[in-house]
Amino acid sequence: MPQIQLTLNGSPATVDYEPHHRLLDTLRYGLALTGTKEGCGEGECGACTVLIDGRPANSCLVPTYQARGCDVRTVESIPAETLRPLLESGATQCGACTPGVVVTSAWVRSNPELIETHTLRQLMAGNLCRCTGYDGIIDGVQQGLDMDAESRGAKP
Amino acid sequence: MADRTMPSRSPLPNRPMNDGIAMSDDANRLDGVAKVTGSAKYGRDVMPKNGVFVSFIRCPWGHAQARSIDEEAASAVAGVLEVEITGREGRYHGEPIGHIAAESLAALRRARSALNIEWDPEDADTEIGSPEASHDDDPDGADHVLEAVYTTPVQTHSSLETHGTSIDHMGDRAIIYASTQGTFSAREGMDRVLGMPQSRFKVVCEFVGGGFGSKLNGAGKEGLTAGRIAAKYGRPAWLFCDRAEEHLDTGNRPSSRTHVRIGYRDDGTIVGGSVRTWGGVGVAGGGGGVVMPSNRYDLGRIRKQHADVRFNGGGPRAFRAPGHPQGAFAEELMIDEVATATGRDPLELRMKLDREDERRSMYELGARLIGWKRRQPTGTQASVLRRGFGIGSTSWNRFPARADAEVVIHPDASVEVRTGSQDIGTGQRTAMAIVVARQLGVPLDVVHVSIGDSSLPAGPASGGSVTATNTSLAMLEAADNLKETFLERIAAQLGVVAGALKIREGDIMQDDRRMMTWQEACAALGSAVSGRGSRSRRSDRQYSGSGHSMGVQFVDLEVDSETGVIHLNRIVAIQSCGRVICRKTAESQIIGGVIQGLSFALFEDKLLDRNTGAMVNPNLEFYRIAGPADMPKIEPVLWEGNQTGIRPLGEPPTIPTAGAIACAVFNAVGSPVRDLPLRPDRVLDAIEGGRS
Amino acid sequence: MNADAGTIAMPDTIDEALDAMAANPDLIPVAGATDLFVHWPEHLEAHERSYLDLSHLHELRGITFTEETITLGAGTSYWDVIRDPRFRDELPILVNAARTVGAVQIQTRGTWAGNIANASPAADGVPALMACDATVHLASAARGETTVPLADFYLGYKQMRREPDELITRITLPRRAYDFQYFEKVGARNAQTIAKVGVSMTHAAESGWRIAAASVAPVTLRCRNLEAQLDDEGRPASPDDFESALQADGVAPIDDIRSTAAYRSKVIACIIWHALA
Repeated sequence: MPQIQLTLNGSPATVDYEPHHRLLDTLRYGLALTGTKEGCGEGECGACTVLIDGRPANSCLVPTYQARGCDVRTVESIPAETLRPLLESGATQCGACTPGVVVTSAWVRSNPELIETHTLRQLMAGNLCRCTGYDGIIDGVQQGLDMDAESRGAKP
Repeated sequence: MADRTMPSRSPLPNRPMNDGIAMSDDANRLDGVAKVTGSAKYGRDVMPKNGVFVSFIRCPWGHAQARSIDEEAASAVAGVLEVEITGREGRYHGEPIGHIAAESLAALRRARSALNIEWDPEDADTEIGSPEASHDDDPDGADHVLEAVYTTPVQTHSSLETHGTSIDHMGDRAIIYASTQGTFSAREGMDRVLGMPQSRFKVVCEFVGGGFGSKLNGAGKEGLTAGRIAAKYGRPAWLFCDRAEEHLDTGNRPSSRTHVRIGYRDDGTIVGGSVRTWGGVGVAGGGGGVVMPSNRYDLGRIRKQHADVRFNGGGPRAFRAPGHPQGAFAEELMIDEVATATGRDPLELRMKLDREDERRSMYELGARLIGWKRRQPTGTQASVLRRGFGIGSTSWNRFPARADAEVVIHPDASVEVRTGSQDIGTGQRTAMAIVVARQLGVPLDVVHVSIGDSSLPAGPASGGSVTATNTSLAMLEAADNLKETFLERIAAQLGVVAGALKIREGDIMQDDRRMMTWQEACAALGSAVSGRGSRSRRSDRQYSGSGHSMGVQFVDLEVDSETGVIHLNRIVAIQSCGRVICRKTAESQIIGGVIQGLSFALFEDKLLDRNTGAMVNPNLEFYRIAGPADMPKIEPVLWEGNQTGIRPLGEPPTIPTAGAIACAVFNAVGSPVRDLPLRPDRVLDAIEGGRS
Repeated sequence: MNADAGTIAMPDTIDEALDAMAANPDLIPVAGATDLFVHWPEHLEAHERSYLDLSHLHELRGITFTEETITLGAGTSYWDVIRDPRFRDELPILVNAARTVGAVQIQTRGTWAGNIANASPAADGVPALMACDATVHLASAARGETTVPLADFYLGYKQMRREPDELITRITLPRRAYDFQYFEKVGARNAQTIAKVGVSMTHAAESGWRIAAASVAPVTLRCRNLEAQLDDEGRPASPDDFESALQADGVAPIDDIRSTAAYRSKVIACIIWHALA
């Protein structure tokens, strides 16, 4: 089986793949990283969101071979201590969309300048949730941004 | 289980109106940590080593006969274990006619393709159509008659985790990881297919990725088929639907048609008439009921008839308040049509028609919060953007169900709440922990919940908003029984009478003196102590309180009269549910109910091709569910009122939303859109129709 | 299954890519894969084909602004444009179009060139580029570089002026002082929506009106008759006055899963008319 090398959740990794594998399949079935969920297989729901070179992508639409040499981060790599706001704001119900929400929100928080051009609802628009009605999600991302701003000493 | 590095309690959401109402204002969802870190394992995530993958062979047309099937070619595909055809006729798109078992998902797909099935399509019916209503005489005492037809489409549950089961078969025993709303009902028939007594296997569903009623189907065809394969090969088996299969064959909210012929007086009084409803149940035998009239309003003497209509589609399953949102859509819009025709304010008319005094108080509050005063009379706006306001109401009764519970105090000072039934995302886990912590008098932090496992005390399937209401009674009884035993043992240790001791924030108190800390007391036990409880007539009498859940919703929106696009500004959702247990999960349930209602109102529609009967949008691209950018500001208001006890909350908030939105659109554009979803082209047609 | 089936060519340079395409004209170029990979596991026949992965071709990256021309390398994603302040200042029409393509997760992977090559009549990026007089630059090992104006690129539904051995290498836009830019897409949901009707419009003193429409014909349509009408007569009294020009331009929407023909015809004229107000 051919292989690619990439940085996965911060560590170098060599991964077997077939040409027709999606990054989602490689993560879930090949590497047992089941935090990344499959909701639709067409890039609509965002449950499979991962970060590729720091940008969010639907791993169901990414050929595994395109991840060669990339820095890929899944929900498993998001530091737990940063997730407190999503926990507190009630961003989850059933939780099936949550890993994707978490990854997108982590990206928003590491790029706080995005809110100069985008609303949080626009930034989070690629993560569908059937349960919560999104308020808890949006509040959680906002609280995370506020927390980060405070810890940087900036005015929130 | 909650990770103690994360807080179990934290600051309040910014909704001061709801402060202090719930038993716990600040508790976080107990399984939130597992969910946000991705460590929560759902059934779909369990892929035991050496497992067999299974999938159904499905009919791609509304109605067709399989003329030829190349089973041999499919069986010859590398990695295929078996191909079994169980029938040749498909009566709807997605109906299984057999299954394939293989060593991998890829082999399954190759085999499915190798079957090369030649189908002979037959005529397919795809909708309710336009059945004639029998002509009724005009109602007595009416000045006018409104005759109108309201329709709603098939809505699919669209849970993010699809239906399916993963079975870890270990020879003489098995664990069934099911995505189910019924831990206990998911065992039904499994003993037969596994060839194992129920004592040798258990169902585990610690995490379930949504259900909304669609996972109330026992073991389901997914579970039973996986079970047969697991038993046959003596190996683990995994069968989960993909998104298309989820839309096609895991139930839905049936379509509806409501034909009203109703009489009213010049003052808006409705004097009665006839309501004929039809429910589109696909190939199923029933389940298409439409709750119209709701009995919330005094509509005079109504003659109601209902018929289910079969067509070539997958059958319905219970969907969050079955029959209610479709009925409420027709009822609320009908009331607004009467109000407009008689020149009355729809709020004023509802105050007159509503049978429930408590809801009248809710209307007053809602009108204030939404700014009802700004509403302009229906049909008076000519601007491009037109503002609309609408109202809907809801109610839900408490249904009894069997529930047992056990609470254990361990010597290490942890408290274990044991309930076998499931948390499908509602917050059941968290709610039960709060109920027990409060009843025992211990901090929430020491409470852990074991849930979603058929070897734990039995509880209801999560349908009809029965899980929390019934299990909490069992929990309260269990906690009281446990407290009694526990304090007796502690009292014996301390040499005091048991009746003299109390638990306060975990401390063991005699009068106002702390006798022992929680840790000391538990350590002194030496062994675990447990208490059991059940929902029974006795616990019902002792703990259940009075009242039923009800609510009202107010909508504020704008319609672009050039494009027909609806922009929602705000929705105020006032909801009673008795004594609120957990404020955060309760607010979330209300908002979640509203969004499913608004998604039903604006977007969702399972479309069957008129010629082939095939679903044309079996995906999330063209079957649209509301996303973050579609959401208005939703304001959930927890209404305490005069209610006591623990009341249902899952169902009621999704009932009134679509009707309230339809009323607001009517208010904005001047003519009613009587068909859901409220698509832009329909809105434009209504505007044009209103002009002519 | 032939020996090459399902193979992926992963070139490091454009020359290698073009050589590969010359050697095997059946190679399918893959950029962001956001269209190709939709429901991918089910498309078994597609798994048997051979692909050319463009995602790591650094030569295709990059956006340059010269005095005369703006150049988007074929690897430019929607997100690259959204985050580039030069576009926000000078060509907000492209930013606005990019922001309606799916959600961020799609915008970061999907490319403008991929949108052109995918040739969907419901594309979001293509009409905006067309309203900016974009030129498509194609290269092949055999014939070197050729250029085709985007407005002339499509021949019919999913038919285009790209030979099997050609690769889109870049997109260029003339740099103009636009005094009007407008992008509108009416969809049923506020994000993640493929156009029900899309309109892109620009105006500059030197070029006059440019209007392109999506989802109203088998191809993304440049509305030259309507442009001429506006250049000559300005905004008419009513959207109905656009009808004959739009018809002459080939606006002939169909009923489909996204919308109805009647709705699209009505709405496109209204959108343009209101945009001019």
